[in-house]
Amino acid sequence: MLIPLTTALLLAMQSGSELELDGKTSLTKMMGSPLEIHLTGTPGQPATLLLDTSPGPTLVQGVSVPIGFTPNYRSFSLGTIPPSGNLDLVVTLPNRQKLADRTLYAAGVIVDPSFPGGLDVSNSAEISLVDRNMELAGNPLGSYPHFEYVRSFNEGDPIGVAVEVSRFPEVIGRTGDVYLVAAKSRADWIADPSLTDVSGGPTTRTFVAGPINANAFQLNAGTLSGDNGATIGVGYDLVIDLNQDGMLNDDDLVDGYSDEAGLYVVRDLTTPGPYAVTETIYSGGSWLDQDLYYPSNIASLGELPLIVISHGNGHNYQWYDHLGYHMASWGFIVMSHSNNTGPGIFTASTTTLTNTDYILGNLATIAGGALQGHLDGGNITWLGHSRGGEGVTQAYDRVHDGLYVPNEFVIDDIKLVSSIAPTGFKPPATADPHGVTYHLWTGGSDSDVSGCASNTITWTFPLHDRAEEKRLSISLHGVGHGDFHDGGGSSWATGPCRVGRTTTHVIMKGYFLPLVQHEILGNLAAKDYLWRQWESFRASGSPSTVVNPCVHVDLQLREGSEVARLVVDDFQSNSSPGISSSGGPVSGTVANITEGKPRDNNTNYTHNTGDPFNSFIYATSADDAGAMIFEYTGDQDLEFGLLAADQDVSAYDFLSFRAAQASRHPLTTSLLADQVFQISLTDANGVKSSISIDAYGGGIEEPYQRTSCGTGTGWAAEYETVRVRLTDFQHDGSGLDLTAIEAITFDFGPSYGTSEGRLGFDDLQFHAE
Amino acid sequence: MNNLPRLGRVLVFTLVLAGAGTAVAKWRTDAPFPEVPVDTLAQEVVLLEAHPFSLDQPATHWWRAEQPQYDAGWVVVLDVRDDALIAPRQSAQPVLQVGSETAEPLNVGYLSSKVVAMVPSKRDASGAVSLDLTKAPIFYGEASLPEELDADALQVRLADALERGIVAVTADALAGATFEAQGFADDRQLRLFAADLIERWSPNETDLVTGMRAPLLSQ
Repeated sequence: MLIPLTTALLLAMQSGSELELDGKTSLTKMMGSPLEIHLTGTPGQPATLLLDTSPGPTLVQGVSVPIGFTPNYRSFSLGTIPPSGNLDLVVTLPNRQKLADRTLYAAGVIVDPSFPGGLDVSNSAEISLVDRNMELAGNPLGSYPHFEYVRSFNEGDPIGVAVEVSRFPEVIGRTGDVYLVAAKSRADWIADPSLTDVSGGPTTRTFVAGPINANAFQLNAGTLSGDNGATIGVGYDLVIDLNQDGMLNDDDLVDGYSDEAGLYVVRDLTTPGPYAVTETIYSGGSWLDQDLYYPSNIASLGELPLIVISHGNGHNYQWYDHLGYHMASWGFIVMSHSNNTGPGIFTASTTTLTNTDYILGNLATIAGGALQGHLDGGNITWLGHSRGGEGVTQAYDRVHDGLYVPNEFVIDDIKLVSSIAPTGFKPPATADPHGVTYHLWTGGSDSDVSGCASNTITWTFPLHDRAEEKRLSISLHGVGHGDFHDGGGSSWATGPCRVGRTTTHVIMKGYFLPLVQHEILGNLAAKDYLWRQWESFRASGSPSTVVNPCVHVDLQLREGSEVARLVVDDFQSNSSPGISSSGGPVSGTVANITEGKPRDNNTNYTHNTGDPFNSFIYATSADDAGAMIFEYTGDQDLEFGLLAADQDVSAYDFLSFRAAQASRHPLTTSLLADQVFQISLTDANGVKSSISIDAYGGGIEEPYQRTSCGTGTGWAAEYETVRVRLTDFQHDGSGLDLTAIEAITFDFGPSYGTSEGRLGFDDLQFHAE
Repeated sequence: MNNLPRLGRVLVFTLVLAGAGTAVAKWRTDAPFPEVPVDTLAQEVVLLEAHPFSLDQPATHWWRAEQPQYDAGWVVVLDVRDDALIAPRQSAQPVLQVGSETAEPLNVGYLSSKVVAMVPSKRDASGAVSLDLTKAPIFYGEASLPEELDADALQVRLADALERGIVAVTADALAGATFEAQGFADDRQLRLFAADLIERWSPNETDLVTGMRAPLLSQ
């Protein structure tokens, strides 16, 4: 509503009340921080603060009020003006993500009959809200996006800082002190905003206009401790104190203004935790033999989660000391039990169920009652090996379907099911992880659960792909079936470059610990170990491919619906390659596109143009999984358009997908190297930002070079997940508008990475952290 | 080994020593994975010992689809000449059958080639084990999951074995291998007895024996 300028000036002159926020009429503040309100007026009169996202002004009862009264308008009673005529109070600013980068306009209104219209309206004050919790800590990269923001650092690794000034232009030209401080919760920050550097700083830095690496630098050379007892990671917050007053305030930048730390330093996860371990073996009767591991000082440790291990056929329940001792030393109770695998999967699942019931129901007597009051029966992990690996899945399925009713637990107590090289005897109807978080281990050299196309019983991946919600996977080249246990004897391994039992156990410890700490305890520092490219990040004691050329590890992590996500294409519906499962158009110049069941359709891995998903063993004939496969021999592309309703992806943190090289295909065997290509996002303004997937340390791994199962070389196609942080596409001032993304484009070929290849592709989605 | 005939003791030591060399080779970390023999019925299985038993408390025979209860049977010790039959594997294994009944192997036996197995049986009117091993050939049938085999399937497999000329042990051989009947309170006691046999016949399987002897938790 517009009013004549002369009228507005006249009305403004009638104003007597004055409003200041933190002593100013215009300021930038971080969400969630305290704000001092100062309002003057006639004593004894009721005062109200009006807030809106529009500055107005608007005429109210003939009085100009300097806000717009949009649907975002809010009013807050401030009580009455004190006798002094000065009303002062402190409020906490709202802390809602949707308010980030918004400007709020405020006005005080006092009911005062002596003023025209009966209202004494103050001046306008405006406050720009910024999100304190931003990514600052990370690592420099050799190519665009030139810097990756990460959550976890291994002890001894340098910690970098970068500011993308196009997102925070207010820092250009300013000099700030950069602090690395012990992590505080948001409440702690509000209560005590003082800054105490813990790494020999602060470091003073002037921020300049330019690309992100112009404002990237090393903050710590790796001197910080990562030892936090039985918890993975020591939390630190990172603050850029732009007003250099030694406090977190005003528009200072902070990574960690939340209950989550800005970054974590993590000690070697392959070495034992802080607790001595007690092991005891006992029996509750037939098929109730149990090998128990727990912290020797459990009496002082509260309730600890339970890990149940169900061994494989011909194996023994005492063959998991490497995991039992390791996990117990980190504060878990581990019970490995005799598993009735000989008759089959159903009987194995029964022993998983009965042994879980047994330990939960006999805490008073097991280990002399040491576990009584110290076992958290609501947080159970089932870990099974081989037939036991399929058995734990069937056990979950039986409880889910009401075919087995446990005495001592309910289905929601099972938080994680993990299968080591599981068999695939059972169809989806009886061995389905349903909605539980599911995890899979696969050994590329496994000569028992081999994965050969000829026998679907030896396919590990269908169980993984049946999982409806969050699912994770680790595939290890050169690892045999027997390498996963510590019972000695043959590794049951075939193929080149064997990793061996000792190294396999190191990898297992350094991966299983963060897996369980994250999935069971919600440990945030642990999550980076579950998805970042192995080539660039893993437990510090785990071998790199450089140190041990036989070690190649492919990780998958697909988020479930527990996090906000937009599934662009999971290939489960809209079977036409031209339409994604979210309904958007799919187009491109890549060749021989096939959408279908990711299943090798004959009995071998021999290259066969008539078998489009040759070497893919992710679905049996009874499964309904879907995927896409295509190839390229030059610069070719594949593009997923987003429907208008899906184009605002600013609420998500990552774009992720999984891809796998087609084994034994000439376009794979011609290179035998990581597949590298480029991902681009294009917004409604035509701005396109591109990232090569190898920027983060690796591409899509080449298949394990194992022979047999037909002619040729190369074993099962191994998916690995690629996750790219969405704000990475905004680096160097790309100008990409994440609220209006029209297309995701994958560019292949010599101009973008690898010159040729054939890839399976799946699970393209945006998702939150 | 108190009730073991002298001849039997000699046989035990001879067979165990003979198997020691091959066991070492099979224990190597790079030992190859043996494929399931194409013709499982062609592989010889020799009865070394037969121990009739009874249980005061019936137990479940998990190794067939019907999962029946049993309170008597035989614990047998077998010499399996082709160890590929009994290599520990996760995919389908050849199924040990005695007559029309599945047997439950109580050890792996791969390193020693000796398998200790339990064969459930009905009792006769006198309460003795009714399964006559001289009329029940011992053989490994086609690889599958025992929990999926029902009575009809087992009858078919037995018929195939008989057609192939698989015969049961002779009365003399059985007499030389048979021990005194044992009575056990329950399945656990039976398995403890079996653990002694495994320790004797398949001495590499120390973890298995230790595990079977885990102390019973007092309730």
